[in-house]
Amino acid sequence: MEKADSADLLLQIMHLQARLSEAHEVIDAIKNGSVDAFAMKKDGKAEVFTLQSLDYAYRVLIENFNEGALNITADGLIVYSNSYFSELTQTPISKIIGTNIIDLIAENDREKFWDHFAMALQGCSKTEISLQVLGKKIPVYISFTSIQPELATVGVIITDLSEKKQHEQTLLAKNRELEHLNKSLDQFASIASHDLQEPLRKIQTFATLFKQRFENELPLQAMYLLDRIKGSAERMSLLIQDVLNFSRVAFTENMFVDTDLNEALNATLQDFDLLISEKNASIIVGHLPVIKAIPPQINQLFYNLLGNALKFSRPRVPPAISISSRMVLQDETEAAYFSKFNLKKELLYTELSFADNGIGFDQQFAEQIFSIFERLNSRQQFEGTGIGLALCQKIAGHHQGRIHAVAEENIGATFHVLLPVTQSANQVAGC
Amino acid sequence: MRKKITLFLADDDEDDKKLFIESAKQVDKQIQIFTASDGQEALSILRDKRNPLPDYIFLDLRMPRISGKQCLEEIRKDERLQHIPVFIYTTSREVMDSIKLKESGAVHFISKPADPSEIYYILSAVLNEKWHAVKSQ
Repeated sequence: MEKADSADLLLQIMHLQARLSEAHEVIDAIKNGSVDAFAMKKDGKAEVFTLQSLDYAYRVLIENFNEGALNITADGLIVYSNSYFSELTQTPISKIIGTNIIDLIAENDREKFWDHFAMALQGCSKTEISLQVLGKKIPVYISFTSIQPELATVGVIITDLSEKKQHEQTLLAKNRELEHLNKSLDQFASIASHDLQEPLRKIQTFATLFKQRFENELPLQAMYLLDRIKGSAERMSLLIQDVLNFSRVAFTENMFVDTDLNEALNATLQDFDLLISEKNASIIVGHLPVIKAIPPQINQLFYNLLGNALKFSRPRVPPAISISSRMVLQDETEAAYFSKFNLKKELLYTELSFADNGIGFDQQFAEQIFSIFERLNSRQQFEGTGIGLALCQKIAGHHQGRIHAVAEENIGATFHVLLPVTQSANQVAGC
Repeated sequence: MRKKITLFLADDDEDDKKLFIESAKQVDKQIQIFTASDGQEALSILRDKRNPLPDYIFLDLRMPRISGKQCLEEIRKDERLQHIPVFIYTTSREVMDSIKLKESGAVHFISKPADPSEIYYILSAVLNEKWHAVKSQ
């Protein structure tokens, strides 16, 4: 019995030794990569463990990478390529494998490539270079990671920069365009601030000199007229400066301040007091709100609208002008209005209306009149530059507002200006 | 006896030149003024060693051929002229113009007034103060 036991134990030891050595072999095989899978018995069934499954996730990742992935030898020979690199270079993987990577690098960049590759063999390196495939240059970002000593290869990740470069090019072109525009604007500014101002200053200078030198010889009426000349020249000079400022102002939120539209309108009415009494015009003014606005622009807007209402009057019909305001409701009743003028639902609008009984115009021109230099009447009939309403539209736009007109020929015209009461916190008025 | 002051004015506008001279003479009857009608003429007069060096130079900005700004830059480079205070005397009221020209070495930026009697006050102020030419940046 004892004998049998010891023989049995010996057998068991031998069996265990054999299993141990088998385990060692498996471990060595796993270590050197020659095992892809092994089976283990569990509950009488064989369970297969694929070592590839550990790599699998990475392989799928690399294959579906939106960047090129290569594995190259120390001589530059490509031993692995993912499908993205094949698409990028429009070359089948079978052709890529075995190619020396240097053949895919643009000639000008080859030296740079080798420099970085040499660095990569010591660890890692990255740079921007161009590939040259089928006569086409592809700007890429290339990053190397040495896999030595485990594997005698270098891992390469290639990022296509074509789109980025194209964006950069577009951006550069846009910047150049902007620079050019700024230069034109500067030129315009220089003309406006110097050449246009000069004759006006002269008018003021000579009117002043005239008054000073002939003070004792001139009737009071003449002195008064001289003052009007000076005043108008001064106003024109201010307007030029205003338009100039207007054209170069950067529209940022901090220019918007609480603006009492009643005050702005009163100031404008004072500018026109002479014309109002000359034309025997009657003006009815309703109460206007206080809104967030850019005051000089509102003054300009009122000046142009009121000026037009007075200017385009019918012969022998004294102008009757009414200026009123109303809040645009944010309910169903105004839904069509909101969509017609593309108003922002999150903003509260006030509608200012300037109605006159002047010559009006055919409604078919209601949009055209807001184009710059657009005139419906001859210069002989009505003087003007054709900038006024274009400027009004620009000003309304800067306030995230709209302007439109309703008119009938020989009956009159009404200009409606829709302006937000507040400019929303995170929105800057666009140009 | 007070030293005779010499002013130099470069301006292509004959009216402005005349008004400037009239006002300067009101400030100081003894004042000597010589003028040029553009930047090129200004530089050739100023560089001509036979001409006396002015105490102050006034330059209009927009002049034919050589602008006031270019003229100023040339004056700042000229060893014989660079110590003379240069005033820009222009229609422009642009703050940016003023900043740029002071950077180029102008001691002051004077916008031509609409009221000619103001020229008198401007010139009085200029002549009663001590100005030192500034080095361009």
